[in-house]
Amino acid sequence: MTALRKVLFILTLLLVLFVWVHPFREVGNVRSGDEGHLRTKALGIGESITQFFTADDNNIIQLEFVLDYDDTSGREGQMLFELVNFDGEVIFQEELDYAGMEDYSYCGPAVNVPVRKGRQYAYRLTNLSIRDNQPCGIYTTEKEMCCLKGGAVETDGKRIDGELLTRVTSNRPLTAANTLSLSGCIGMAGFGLCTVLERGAGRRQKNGIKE
Amino acid sequence: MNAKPGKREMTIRTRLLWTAVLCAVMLVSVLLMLTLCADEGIDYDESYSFRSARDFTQLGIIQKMIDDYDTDVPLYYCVLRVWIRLFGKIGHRFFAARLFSVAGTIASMVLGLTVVRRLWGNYTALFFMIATGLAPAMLHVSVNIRMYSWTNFLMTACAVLAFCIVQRPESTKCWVLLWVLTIAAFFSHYFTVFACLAIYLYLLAALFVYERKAVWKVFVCGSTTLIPLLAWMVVSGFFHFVDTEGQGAKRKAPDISGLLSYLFKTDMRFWLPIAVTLVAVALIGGLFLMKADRRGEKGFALTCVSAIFVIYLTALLLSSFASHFFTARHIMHAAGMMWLGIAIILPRIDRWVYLSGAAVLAGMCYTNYRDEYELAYRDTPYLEDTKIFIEEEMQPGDIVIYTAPEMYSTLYSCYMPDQIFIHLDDVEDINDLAGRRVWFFSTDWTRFFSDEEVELYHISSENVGHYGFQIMDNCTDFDLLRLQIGGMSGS
Repeated sequence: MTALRKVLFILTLLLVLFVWVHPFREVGNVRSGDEGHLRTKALGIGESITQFFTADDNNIIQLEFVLDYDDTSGREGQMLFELVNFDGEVIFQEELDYAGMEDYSYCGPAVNVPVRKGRQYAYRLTNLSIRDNQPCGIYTTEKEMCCLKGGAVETDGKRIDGELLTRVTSNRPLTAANTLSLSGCIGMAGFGLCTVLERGAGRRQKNGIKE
Repeated sequence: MNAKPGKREMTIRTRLLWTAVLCAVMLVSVLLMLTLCADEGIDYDESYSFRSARDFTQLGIIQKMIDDYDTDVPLYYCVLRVWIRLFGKIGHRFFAARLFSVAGTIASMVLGLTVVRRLWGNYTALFFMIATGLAPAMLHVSVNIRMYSWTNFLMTACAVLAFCIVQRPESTKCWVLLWVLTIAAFFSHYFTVFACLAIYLYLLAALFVYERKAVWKVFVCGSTTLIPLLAWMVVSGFFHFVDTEGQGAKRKAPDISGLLSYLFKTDMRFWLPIAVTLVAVALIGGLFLMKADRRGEKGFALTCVSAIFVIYLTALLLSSFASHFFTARHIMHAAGMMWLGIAIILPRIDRWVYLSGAAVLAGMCYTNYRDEYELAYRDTPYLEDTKIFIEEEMQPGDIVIYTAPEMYSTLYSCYMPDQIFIHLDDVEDINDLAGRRVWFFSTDWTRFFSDEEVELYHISSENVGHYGFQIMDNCTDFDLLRLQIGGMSGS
């Protein structure tokens, strides 16, 4: 019984440590804050807004942005979404139907591309064929409202420190606090079981049963 | 020279070191709570507390509780009023009221630092103090303008007193204190009765086993505390909520994961299995593995951990008769007891189990603080602009018409005490508003004056922007319209 307890103890200890090295991940998102919103000028045909950012992790599942338009008027046409890497190469692109975009709400394509953590990327929105009720981008220049690292917006040929309202969904590693709780949880169960075995052995010895 | 310290010196040094650690935990917790107190966004329940305490005299509060024909009891509001009058000038308009809730948590932590430490040692005190200050739900009630931080303190103190009484049933001081704190708890929130029921049942059972001669005291103490509460309930019309036919009452379905989510949920992955493990290890450990040193200790720890779940089930049963009787946060009064029970059991199982439990708690508390911070400062986007607008554009005596549920004037008037709020349905004669400064809060409950009224009373409106106090139920953010009411032609 003592040997079994020792094995269980070491196994628990190893499991507790394993949580720290195993790349447990969860799908989560970060988004820009709700204050200090500004509008870009309406995008004419062929015009673009570009958002630069530094990749925070090694993958992006979805990139969403916010547009503003007159939602009482009709919408027709296409927008082009492009994700550009540090070499200026387009690694993802998709044409988006303007009619399917909600006013002042996060919308954007499922990107699902691997990226390199710490490298500079950009996503670009281009008006391909929207003639009427052209959209404006919504951005903020307040630092505490920004969620992207190294973010800058390029609109109307000018580069501004700030970010288009953005929501990034990615498969990210657990936070240290989450990992700590998880390892603690495993420890409680494992070490608790060790104590059960220990007390069981103690009781047997007390009752005169030899192990 | 002998450099080695003696055993006594070591003990004193260790004791001082532990005192320093526990004081540091308290200081850090209070500082973290204070960082949340700067939040000026309040929810509806908080606005009810704040207005009751700010706008009514002590007698007025008692009368209000009776007139409201609700389930409220007045003690918390009366003391909050005194507190606001003493410290109301500190910080923003709600800061002092938030500080009062922080004081409730500080009281619990002081209980941990002193009595809990003396009874169960440093490890239990440390765990209990961290949980009381920063655990999910506990941190929230610590800065929420409601009575829960104080009822938590009162319930935990009553539980600890019950344990002391089991050790020394002859102590009159303990009995008197238990009586006083029980009354205080009852008159802070009626639902504390159920937490008290668990405590008194423990007391009864423990005294029946260890000191049968003192059992009568439990009945005397318990029944004499209930008499004033029952009298209050009759006077305030509490029982009109009880539907004897069972009609109109919506029985709530048991939802254990919902309950655990209220107590433990953070923005953390695997929070549910982590919470279940913590509670399960505490309950199983308390039953089979805990080394109890004193009489009734095991029963006490188990009562503390399980009380909250028993109360929850009792409440579900009661909701068959009066659904108004219970909402999930009412179990909150026994949360401090639950953490105390866990804090007693874990170090008495094994030091590794305790360390693991402490790791769970630390991760949970850190994530919870971040969540609370986000909630406080990222979810009230309109507040600054709204405050500026009110200050610059609105005047005392301005009339504000709104369409959100009628009770929301309570919340609006916390921010706008000098304006008059009228629900659209209560506007009796539009002509009376002609020529006055009138505003309209257009929420998602989109209604306005009818076309005929607009034409008849020459009403024109100008949308001056989107403002609000907090995103909640589409009631507290709104398009703000400036109205011009010309009145009926010729009048």
